[in-house]
Amino acid sequence: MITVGKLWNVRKMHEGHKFYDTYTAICHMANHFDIDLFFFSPEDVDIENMTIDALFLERSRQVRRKVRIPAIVDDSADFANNKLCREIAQKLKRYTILVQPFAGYSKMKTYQLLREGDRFKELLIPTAPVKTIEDLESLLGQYDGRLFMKPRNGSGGRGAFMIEITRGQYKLHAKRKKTTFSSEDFPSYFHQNIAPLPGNRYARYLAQPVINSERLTGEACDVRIHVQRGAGGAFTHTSFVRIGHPEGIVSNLAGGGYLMPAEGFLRNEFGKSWRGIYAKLEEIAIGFPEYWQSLIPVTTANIGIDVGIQKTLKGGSFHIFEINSHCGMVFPHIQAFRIIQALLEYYHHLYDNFAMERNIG
Amino acid sequence: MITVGRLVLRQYQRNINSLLSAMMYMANHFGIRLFLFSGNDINFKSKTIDALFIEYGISMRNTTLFPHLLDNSQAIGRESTREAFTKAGTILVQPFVKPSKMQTFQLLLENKRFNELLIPHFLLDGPELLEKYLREFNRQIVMKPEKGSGGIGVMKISKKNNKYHIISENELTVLSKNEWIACSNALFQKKRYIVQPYIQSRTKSGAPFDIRIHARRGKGGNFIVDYAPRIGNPAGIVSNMHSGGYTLPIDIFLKLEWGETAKEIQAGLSEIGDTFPEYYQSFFDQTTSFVGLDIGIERIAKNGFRFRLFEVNAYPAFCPGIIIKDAVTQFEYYRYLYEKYYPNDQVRQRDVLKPAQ
Repeated sequence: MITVGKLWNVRKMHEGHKFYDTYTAICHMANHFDIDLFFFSPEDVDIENMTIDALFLERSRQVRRKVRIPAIVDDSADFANNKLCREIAQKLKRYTILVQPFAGYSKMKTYQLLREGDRFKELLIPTAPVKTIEDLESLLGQYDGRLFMKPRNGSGGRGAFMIEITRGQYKLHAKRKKTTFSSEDFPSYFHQNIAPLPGNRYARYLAQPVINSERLTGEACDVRIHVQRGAGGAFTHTSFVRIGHPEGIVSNLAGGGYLMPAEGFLRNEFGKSWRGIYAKLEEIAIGFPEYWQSLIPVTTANIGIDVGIQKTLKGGSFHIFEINSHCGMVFPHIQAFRIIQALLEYYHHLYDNFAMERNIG
Repeated sequence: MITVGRLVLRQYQRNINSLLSAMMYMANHFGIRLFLFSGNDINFKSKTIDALFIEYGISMRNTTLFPHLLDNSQAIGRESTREAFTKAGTILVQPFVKPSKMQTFQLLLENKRFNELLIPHFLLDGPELLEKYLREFNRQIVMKPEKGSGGIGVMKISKKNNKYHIISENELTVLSKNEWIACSNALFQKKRYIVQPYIQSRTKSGAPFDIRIHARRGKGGNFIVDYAPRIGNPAGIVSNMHSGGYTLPIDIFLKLEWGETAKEIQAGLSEIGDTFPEYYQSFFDQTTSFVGLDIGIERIAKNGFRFRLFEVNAYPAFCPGIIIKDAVTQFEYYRYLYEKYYPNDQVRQRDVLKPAQ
């Protein structure tokens, strides 16, 4: 029996939360793999006494129990990437095995790293920081007067918007909200909301050309390839499609979107050419993780690759929207169990390889 | 450990879908040993089963005795199979055999309580009356095989300018009158069909949808009710997942589609969900472990709506969106049945939950 503590926001563990199903599935399945699994939040750790006030799921009842620091701490969930969690993970590092030692790179750094590399370059979307209004103007000129803007540090589509210039007017299209500025009003808006904050030398926003990754019915969509290390540390993957709210501009679930299995979706959208698209996605799913791993200094436990597909005459062109490195809570789609199984098997792999050497467990 | 055998169709065993294997992983946590088998794996003489187990992610075959419980809710199984198990002392999870679509309709019609939900059914032996129904129902009818499930063989027929538009499996075919007569004759040679008026249950963007009210017996043998919208392919007529559909949380879906009326609709659905399963059960002697309702919602005038009952199911398909919760409900029901029918069983003493370290 291995003890594993999964670092997550315990307050979120109520019915109705989007990850509730995943959370219960992980707890229920762990038993089968001889894993004693519990969840905990940063504030549940008592580092002086080396104990954790842990949350177990016994059958379908939540139970709190005090336990020693476990052999493995899984810090790979998205929430675990915040500051408090990173701090607590660093403190626990001495006594336990961390599942995700890779903290992830910013959007800009990821982009630069891939641009300088030699593979998968064709999937990159040109990205540039926007510091001044001149930057914005020249980029608008370069990409047909339309840009997709996203915060340099942001996730879940928060703060992203589309900007379009037509007949001297600036049209901003954010989540379910459209605003129009005349060319006189726009500079003051720009300085307040888009330009770098005073005293900050980094850009607040990044600009990209607009990629129309849309369904036939017009909703934004992308393919999430979820890659997880499993038995023996080998990568496994599943892919599914996220479809956004019809009035939104990004395809994540926070904005009222939904999930679909990739196969059914591609069949609907691309008709006879769906197999070619699917094969290309598989090629990315198999090739990219190893390549990405070779670019970063530490082992990553999971990778979430967001791929956009723009319809072309021949079928589709592919673009990487984003690389996520904290996706240890799997979206509750039908293939999620395969990922959870891989996750549980990866715990065993870590334990078998490092517990002895580090005298843990 | 409580042993539960789950009767599945043979093809499920060759390629266990991730959902079934997830259930097998989860079972341990509930003190249940779950295995899969199909009709051919049973040895009636020695009362053993050549069953499929999963251990640490690897599936393996083992010969095992008849289990405490037989879950036949996915494949009904032959009557002789069910009898053999019952004789040997195995409890059936779903002893209930659902009446046909036509019988269900008659039963509900005679008992009146949910009459306003009912969609007229007409069972046809031949194509002669199709023209009459097309005239009667605004030139749009739905035809489905008398015995069928999963939206297979469902067709929508509409008559426009003397042409017949037939939508089946997301594809539209336009036939002339003569072609249609030949086609309908061919259809009725194999099967009998039920004809219904076409009910427009569509989202704003034109995709067909229905609300699955998913009532499964769980803890204490009570119905646990869930609601899942199922939105189909815009080109199709049925809203099941086979044809590339999807689901959303019910509250979000209703809000997107109806705005302020959503609450009223949700209350209406809850009322059906709270009362219908027990009402339906009251007509039968045998306990049904599951009642699934497919409810369509018609838009009337500006903000009005009307519920329509497409179908009553007794053998559930997996309901997307509530998969894990549904699995837990099933495990709790297994435990309930076990405690009810095996009160003095020895294995029960074994506590499977391991104390914390």
